[in-house]
Amino acid sequence: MTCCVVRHAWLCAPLVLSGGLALTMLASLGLDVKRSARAARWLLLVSIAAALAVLAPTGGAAGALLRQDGAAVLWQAVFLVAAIPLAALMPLSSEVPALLLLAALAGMTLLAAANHLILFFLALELMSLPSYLLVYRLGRDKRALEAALKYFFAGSVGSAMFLFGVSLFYSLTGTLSMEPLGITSPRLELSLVLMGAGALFKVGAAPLHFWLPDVYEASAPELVGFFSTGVKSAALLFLFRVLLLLPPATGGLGTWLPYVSVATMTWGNLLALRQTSLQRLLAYSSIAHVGYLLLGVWAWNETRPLAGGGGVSAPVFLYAAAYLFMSTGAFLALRLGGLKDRKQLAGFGRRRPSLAAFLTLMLLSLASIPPTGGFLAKFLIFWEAIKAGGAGLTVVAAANSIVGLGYYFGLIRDLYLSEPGPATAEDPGPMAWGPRALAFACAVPTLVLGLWPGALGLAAQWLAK
Amino acid sequence: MGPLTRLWLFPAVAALAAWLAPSRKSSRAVALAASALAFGYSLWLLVPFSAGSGALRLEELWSAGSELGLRYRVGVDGLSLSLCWLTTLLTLLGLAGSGSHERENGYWAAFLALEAGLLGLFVVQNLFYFYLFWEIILLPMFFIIGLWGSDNRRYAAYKFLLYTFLGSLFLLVGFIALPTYHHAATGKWTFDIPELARTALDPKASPWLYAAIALGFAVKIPVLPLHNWLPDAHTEAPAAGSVLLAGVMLKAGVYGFLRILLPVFPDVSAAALPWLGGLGVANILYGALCAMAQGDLKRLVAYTSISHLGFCLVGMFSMTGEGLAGASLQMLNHGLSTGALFLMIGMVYERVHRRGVDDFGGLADVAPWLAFFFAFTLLSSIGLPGLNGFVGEMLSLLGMARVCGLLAGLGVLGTILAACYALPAFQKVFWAPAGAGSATSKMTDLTLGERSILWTLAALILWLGVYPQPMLALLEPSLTPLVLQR
Repeated sequence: MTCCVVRHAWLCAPLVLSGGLALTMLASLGLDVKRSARAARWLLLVSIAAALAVLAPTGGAAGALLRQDGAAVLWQAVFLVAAIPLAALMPLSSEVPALLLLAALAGMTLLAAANHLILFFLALELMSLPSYLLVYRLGRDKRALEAALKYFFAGSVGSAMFLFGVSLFYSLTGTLSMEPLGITSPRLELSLVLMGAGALFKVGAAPLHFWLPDVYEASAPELVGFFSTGVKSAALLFLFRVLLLLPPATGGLGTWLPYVSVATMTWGNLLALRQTSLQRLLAYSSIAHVGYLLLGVWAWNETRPLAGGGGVSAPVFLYAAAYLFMSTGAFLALRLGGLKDRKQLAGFGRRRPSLAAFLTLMLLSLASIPPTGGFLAKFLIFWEAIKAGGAGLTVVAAANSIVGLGYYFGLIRDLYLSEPGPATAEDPGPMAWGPRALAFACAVPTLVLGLWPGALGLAAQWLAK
Repeated sequence: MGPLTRLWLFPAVAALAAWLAPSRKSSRAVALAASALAFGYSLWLLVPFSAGSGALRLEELWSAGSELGLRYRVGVDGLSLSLCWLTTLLTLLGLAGSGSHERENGYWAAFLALEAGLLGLFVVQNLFYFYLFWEIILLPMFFIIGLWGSDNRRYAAYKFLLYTFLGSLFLLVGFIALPTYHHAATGKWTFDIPELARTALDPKASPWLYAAIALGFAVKIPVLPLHNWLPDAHTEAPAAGSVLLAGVMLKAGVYGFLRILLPVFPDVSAAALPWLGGLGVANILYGALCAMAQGDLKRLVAYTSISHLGFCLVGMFSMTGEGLAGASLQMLNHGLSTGALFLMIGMVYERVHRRGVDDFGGLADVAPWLAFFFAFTLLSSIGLPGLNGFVGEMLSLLGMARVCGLLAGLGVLGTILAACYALPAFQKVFWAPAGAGSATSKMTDLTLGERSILWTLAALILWLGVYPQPMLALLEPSLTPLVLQR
C-alpha cells in the first residue's frame, strides 16, 4: 500500500491529487459530457493510485508547514483506500463528482501532513466543502438536499468553533505552528476544547452527531462508506493533532473524552436497535464505533510520553484501519444487493448466498466477533483503556458491545433465519468482476487483521517514524 | 506446524471443503470422513503424548506477537486430551447419526467448524487465543440451532447467542485485566496461562478479576441463575447440535475453571468454595426438580444436564484430589451419556416428529433395541454403580464430604431425585400402555447403523464404570497441582 516508488519531499499526495484535479478539468474541456465522465473516472482512479504510490515518510524540519511523518502516511493511505470503492462505483453523469472527490481527497491528505494551524484549517475546508456538495450530487432522493444543507450548517459550526479555538490559541501563544507546546494553562486548555469540538463535530460524537444519521441515510451507500471511514478517520486524526499541541493528560479536552466516548457509544447503540432503514442503522452503528475509538484516544492521551514521541496511538489506528474495511464492505454489500430496508433482508441469504456471506462477515467484524479485524481492534482498544486505568469505562464499553450484538445479529438473523416475505429486493443480477474484487479487497484484510496481532507492532513502528 | 495445530486446523479446512462441496451428498461424505479422521488423529496423539514428559506436552510456541504476550501457544495435558477425544468422538457420532435425509452443505460445514473451534479451545495455552476460540464456537452453534433446529429455533438461537456473549464480554475484560495486573507485578507482558499461574497477583484486585472471569464461565456451564438459555437451546437444536452443545460445549465452562481460574487464583478459589460449591448443589437439586416436571423428553434431558454439571462444580470446588478427579471424569461421563440420550431422542424424532413423554407408550414392544439403550444410558446418567455416572458423582461428593459435609449431603439428595425424574419418564414412554393418539405405532426400531453408534457409547459408558483407572491416571497429573493444601 505504501510502497515508496519515488522519494522526493515535494512529491506528496496532495500535490498528485491536485494535479489529477487539473487534468480532469482539462480533459472535460475537449470532450462531450459522456466521454468526459468516463475519462474522469479513469483519471480519478489513476490519481488515487498515483497518490498511494508516492506515499512515503519524508519527515520535515521542525516548524515546517508540512510534516510528512509516519502517522501522516498511514492516515493518508486510509483516506485513499477508503475512496477507491466510491471512485469505482459512483454514478458519473458528468465529471463534477469526480472533481469534488479529488478536491476532498487533496484536502484530507493535506490535513494529515499539515503542521501549521492555518494550513490545517484550509485543508479542513478543502475536505469539507466538496463533501457537502457530494452529498447533494450523489443523493438518493429529495432528502439529499436537506441532508446536504444540514451537513453544511453543522460542519460550518464545527469549523467556526475550530477557528475560534485557533485564534484564542494564537492570542495566548503567539504561534500557529503545530509543534507540541510543552506547557499548559487553563486558557490554553479552553482553546483546545474549542478546537477539539470542531473535530468532535466532524467525527460525529454525541451530542454533536445530530446531522450524521440524516446525511448517511440520504446519500448513496458507496458515498456513506467513504464518509464513515475516510472522512471519519480524517476527523480522528484532526483530534489527535489537536491533542498533541498540549502535554499529555492535561485538563480540558482530555478529561471530557471519556464522557463523550460513553455518551457516543451508548446513544449510537441504543438508537441503532430501533432502526428499520439499513443505512440509518449503520449510521448509528458508526456513531457507536466512534465511541470506542474515542475511548482509545482518551487512553492514548493519558499514557503517551511527554516528549510527544511515538506519534499517535497504534491501537486506534488499527481500529480505524479495521473499520475502514468492515464499514466500506458493509455499505458495499448494501449497494451491490440494492438493500435499503431491513425487510429486504428476509430470504436474502438464500437468494444471494455469496453476497450475504460477505455482508455477514462484515457484520461479524462490526460486532467484533473473532477472527475478524473488528475483534482484534476492539481487544486492543480495551487493553489500552485498562492500561490507562479505565477498567470501569471498559466494562461500560463491553456492555455496549452486547447492545451492538443485538442489532448486528438481528441483521444476520434476518438474512438467514427469516422466511422470505413479500418485499423482496430487486435482483441486480450476478456481480461483475469489479465489485467482486472490491468485496474481496474488504474481506481479506478483515480476516488478516483479525488473525495477526503482530499488525500492532508494525503499525506502532510506522507511526513512530 | 505441530500435531495440535493440525488437530484443530484440519476440521477447519474440512469445514471449508464441506461448504464448497458440489453436492449435498459429497458434502456429507467430506464431513463424515473428516470427522472420522479427526477422531483417529486425536486417538493417535496418545502415542506422542505418552512418550513426552512434563505437565504440558506436544507443546508448540510461535514467536510472533510475543513482545505483546499474544503469542500462539498450544499444549495438552491429560485433561485437555481427554476433552479432545470427547469432542472428536461426539462430532463423529453426532454427524453419523444425523439422519439419512439430505442436509445442506452448511449443516456439515457448521459442525466441522464447531469441532475445530472446540479442539482449538482445548489445546491453546494463551488467554488471547483461548478467547478467540471461545467466541468462534458460538457462531456455528448459532447457525446450527437457528437454521436446522425445531419450531422455536430462531428465538432459541438468538437467546443463546446474546446470553453467552453477555458472559463472554465479562470474560474479555477479565482476560485483558489479568495480564495487566500480572504486568504490574512482574513488568512482563504475557497472556500465557502457565506463566500467569506462577505469579501471585494484587490481593485487592484478584476477587474482581475472578468474579469477571468466573461469570463468563458460569454462563457457559451454566450455573444457576444463569441457566436460562440452556433449556431452549437444547430443546430447539437438531439432535447432533444438542449432542455437542451438552456433550462438549458446557464442558468448556468447567474446563475454563480448571485450566485458568483454579491455577491462577488458588486463594480466591478456596474462598469461593461456599459460594460456588453451594451454587453447584443448587444446580444439582434445581435441575433435578425441574426435570421431574418436564413433558418434553429433550427438555427433560436438558434439565438433567444442569443437574449433572452441578456435580462438576461440587467436585471441583472441594479442591481435593477425589473431587477434582470426579469433576473431570463427570465431564466425560456426562458427554457420553447425555450425548447418547440426545442422539436417541433425535432418532425417535426423525421417525415420528414427536418427543413428548405423553406422546408414547409401550415403546419397548415396538423398539426393543431403543428401550435397551435408553434404559442403559438413563441408568448411567442417574448414577447406577457399575456404570460411569456413578464413579464421577461418587468421587465428586466424596471430595466435598471431606470439606463440607452439609453440601455433600445435599448433593446426595440429587442422586435420589435423579431416579425420581428418570424412572417414571422411562416407564411412561416404554412400558405404560399406549394412549389414544400415541405415536408408538408409527415407530420402528433402530437400524444397524444407529445401533453401532450407540454400542460405541455404551461400551465406553461401561468401561468408565467398571475400570476408570486408566482415565483417572491420565487426568491425575493435571489435577494434582490444583489440590488445595489444607
